[in-house]
Amino acid sequence: MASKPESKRWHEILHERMRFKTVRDFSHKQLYKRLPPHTGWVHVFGSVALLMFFSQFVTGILLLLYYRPTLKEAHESIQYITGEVPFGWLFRQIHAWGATVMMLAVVLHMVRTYFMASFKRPRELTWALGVLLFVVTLVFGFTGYLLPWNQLSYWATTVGTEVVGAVPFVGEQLKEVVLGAPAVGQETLSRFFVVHVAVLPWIIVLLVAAHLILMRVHNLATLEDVGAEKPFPPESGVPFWPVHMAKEACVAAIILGLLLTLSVFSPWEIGEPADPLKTPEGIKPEWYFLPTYQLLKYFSGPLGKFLGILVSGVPFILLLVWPLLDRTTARHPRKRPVSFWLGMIAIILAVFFGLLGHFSETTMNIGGMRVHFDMYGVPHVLEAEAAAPAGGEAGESEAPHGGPSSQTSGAPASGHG
Amino acid sequence: MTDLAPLAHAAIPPAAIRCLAALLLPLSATAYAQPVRTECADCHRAQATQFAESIHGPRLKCQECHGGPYEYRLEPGAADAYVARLAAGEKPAATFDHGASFRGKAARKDVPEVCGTCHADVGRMNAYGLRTDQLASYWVSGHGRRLKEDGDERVAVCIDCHGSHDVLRHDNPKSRTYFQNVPTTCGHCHADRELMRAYNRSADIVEQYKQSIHGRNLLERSDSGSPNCATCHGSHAAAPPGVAEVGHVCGKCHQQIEQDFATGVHARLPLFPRCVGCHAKDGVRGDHRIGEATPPTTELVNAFAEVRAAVGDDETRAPAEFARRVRAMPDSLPIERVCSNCHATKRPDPHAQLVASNDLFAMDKAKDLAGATAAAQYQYARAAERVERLGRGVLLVKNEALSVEEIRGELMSLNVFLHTMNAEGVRERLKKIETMCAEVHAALDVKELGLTRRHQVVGAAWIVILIFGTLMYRKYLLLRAEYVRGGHGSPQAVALPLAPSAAAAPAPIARRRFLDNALRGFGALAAVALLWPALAYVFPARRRGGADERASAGKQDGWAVWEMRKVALGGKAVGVIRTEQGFRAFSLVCTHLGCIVHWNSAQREFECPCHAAKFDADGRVLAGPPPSPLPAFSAAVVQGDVIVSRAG
Repeated sequence: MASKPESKRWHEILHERMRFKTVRDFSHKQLYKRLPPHTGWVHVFGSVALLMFFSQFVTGILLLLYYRPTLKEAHESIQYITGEVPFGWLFRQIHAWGATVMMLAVVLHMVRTYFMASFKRPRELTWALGVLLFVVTLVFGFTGYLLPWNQLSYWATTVGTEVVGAVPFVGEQLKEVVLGAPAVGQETLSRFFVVHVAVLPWIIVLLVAAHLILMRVHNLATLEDVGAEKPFPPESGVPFWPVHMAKEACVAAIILGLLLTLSVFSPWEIGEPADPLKTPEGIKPEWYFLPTYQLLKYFSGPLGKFLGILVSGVPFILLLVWPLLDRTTARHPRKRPVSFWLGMIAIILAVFFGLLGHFSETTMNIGGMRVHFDMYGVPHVLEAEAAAPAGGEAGESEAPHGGPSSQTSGAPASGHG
Repeated sequence: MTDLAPLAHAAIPPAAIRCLAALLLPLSATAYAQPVRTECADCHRAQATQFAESIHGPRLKCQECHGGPYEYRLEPGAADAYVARLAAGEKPAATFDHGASFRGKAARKDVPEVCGTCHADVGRMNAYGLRTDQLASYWVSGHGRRLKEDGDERVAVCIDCHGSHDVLRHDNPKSRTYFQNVPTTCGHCHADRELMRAYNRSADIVEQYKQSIHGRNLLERSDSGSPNCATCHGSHAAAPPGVAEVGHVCGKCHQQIEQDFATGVHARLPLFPRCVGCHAKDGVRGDHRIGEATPPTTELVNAFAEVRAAVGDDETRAPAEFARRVRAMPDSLPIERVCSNCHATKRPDPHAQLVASNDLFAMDKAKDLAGATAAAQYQYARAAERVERLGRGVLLVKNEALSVEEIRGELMSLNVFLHTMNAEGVRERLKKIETMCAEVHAALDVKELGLTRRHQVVGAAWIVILIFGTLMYRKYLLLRAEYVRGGHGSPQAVALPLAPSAAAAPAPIARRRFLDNALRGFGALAAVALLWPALAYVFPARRRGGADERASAGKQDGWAVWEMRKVALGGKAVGVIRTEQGFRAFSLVCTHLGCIVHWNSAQREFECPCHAAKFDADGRVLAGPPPSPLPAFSAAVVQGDVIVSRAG
């Protein structure tokens, strides 16, 4: 808008004082920048993540107006926001659901980048920043989950932070640093609150800025091999504004509609206030932690737990340094079958462990049979239990209990499903 | 043992002596016949074990009740004849001579006095903090009088209820006098048909008690506050209460009911069977099936849930259906049925004949009261069920749930108030319940409407989103054709490096202009749709008014004339001054820049610390820059408290 000719006079006044034209030309260049011609609908996930980040930022600030991070008032203030403040329910629900949608967008964005090998030279750093953004988003989710101070959030945090305690030698100290006290309490709430609203926002803003600048510097990757990219004629490129933005506006409208629908038809419960003396049934972390949560179950004992942390940390390390490991030049997924199948296996494993985690310790009716999934996710048919106790399932489920080392204990359960 | 004594004097270590003694003792016992020390416990093992575990175990010895020496010395042969044979489970060879001072087992008629030697002795019981009136009480009880006057030994004496050797504290769950065991303890005799026939008494009362509201609370819910036999009949002074006492016996717990009943018409009839006339099964005196008149409120709520499932929340059918279900409940004791105990044709009590002329009027009133009660129950159950149901969903109904608790309290107090037989008052209470319920329903209606609106808005939002998405997509295609050459764009597309060209508009311009305007319209709509909730959210949620509009500045007593006290009203400082005429209150916020003025009682002036402003005791500006006087508040004395509120 600022480029309209009739406002020339104040343009020039501004230019004299702050080199306004330089700024304007720069923003024009960025705004009308031509994206590669193949830029399509799969390239919107990053923007969706950015949109969700803005939404979280705004709704988060709104929630801060009424939220009070103390043991006494946290849960009550959430009730107040939801029940009394006009549209409070809406902003809380959009913030809570926004976390999930943002996580989903980040993951899809990463999957797209992986399979289209956009992380390859020269965009290794962009990818690494992206992985850090993924981790920051996870920490956002983890710290934010505690803030409503209800039973689920309290106990999910208690269980989640136990993991830190398994680090050898300094585990207990580390856990106390995270919790601020021997157990989840006011100090933890304050810490998580500060990290969620004061520390992480800065980090994520800086990371996003660096990520976006690098993205602009290198432009979007094409599917051409590394080193063999041909510059496209500018007129065949897709201008960011208004063409790509029009596409993103369509997606953004649908995402907002989705958020509104989820908020109204599947609202997050406020739940019972946290009670440190009573653990409710079926404590589960959020879906994006489920694979890790389930994986950690197969490791027991002090050494096993540490091993579990290492094993569940491996995917993150791998992701971070992946551009250094995969230095081939091919980009098209069909030209790099190994990478393609590695990625598929990783996704399948994550979904598999996530599902195991989701169904573990629940009882369901499947085809007229009552099936109980134990903590390892192994199904047991309850009705047939008395009749055929020697069944393979019952026998195998004991293995993780007795298994002294993590490898042997993990294998039968995962191999079984 | 004597033969070992010299050894002890020798310089042999004590351990060695003990070894030797152990080796030699069996030999010496057979070689030299010595008298064997024997105690009661050696023969009376079962009693001794029971006694050791009893409350008396550490404090008493057998001899204190039974007499006899504290120790017997038996010749070895005699010891074999008694102790060894008993130990082997055989009968002793002959009757054992316990000595001259031995009193043996007390006769039943003497038991109270034997126990009373200690338990009626203030000196002895003082150390344990126990009362000593049990013996005296016992002699005036039904049991005691029969024992003393008729010499009837079948009546209960101390040991029948407390045990003999195995007396346990009443708070020990194994004790016969533990609150939940009392009905069984009394039932030993009072449920014994054979025994009770001799006294012409019903042996069913224990069973009846167990079916009563009190019995079920005591035995099924372990409610220690629920009365057992002893609570109404007394323990040591056990006797059936007479007609006149029934009210007081029940009134020990049901105090408000006793008071309310006393104001009613029935309290004026001297021979009216009082509480049991209505609450005993069919009003039969002596029937221990004491019933509650109304089912527990939780059951009322469940009943309404069933009614709602069956006929819906339909004002024409639901109340009748609800009343039918409530009457069918086992706890239900409909008023008309109770009244007909006396006021209808069946008259178990001859004195009720006196009121026969009243029957028509009484039964009308009964219907009136029953109708009011049923209506109150219905109102409560309907509100409570709705709050419970909505609370399970996404709505927050905390305040409404609190109101329902209040209504429950009102319902209970209506049940109590029924005992006055004051139909006017009952209707007033019903009205109050109805008003409270209506308020709850109104609040819930608003919340439910909000929820429905939300659902509708989502539908509308999707329509907007789909239209917008379609238009935007159309725009996207147009833009792509306009800007991008080659690829999937239109072949005629013109490529422009930076800005769109105004010249490149050969296509139907009117249609595009419509598209652009429509998109702009949607953009504005989206901006409003996003901004409006945010503005509404930011706008203060707590409205002015409410509890903060009044505040107490403290007691009037001890408040000196021209003394000022501060009080916060709605978060703002207000000063209250006592003048010769009374109390005055002013805002302490300086009208200049909002500093808090302080009171100079010597000068009788308000002084502002910020800009040397001064106000007089009427709030008028005396000096300085303030544009207007201090706003006045009204101050009034209410029951000794000085209450400040906004003027007017």
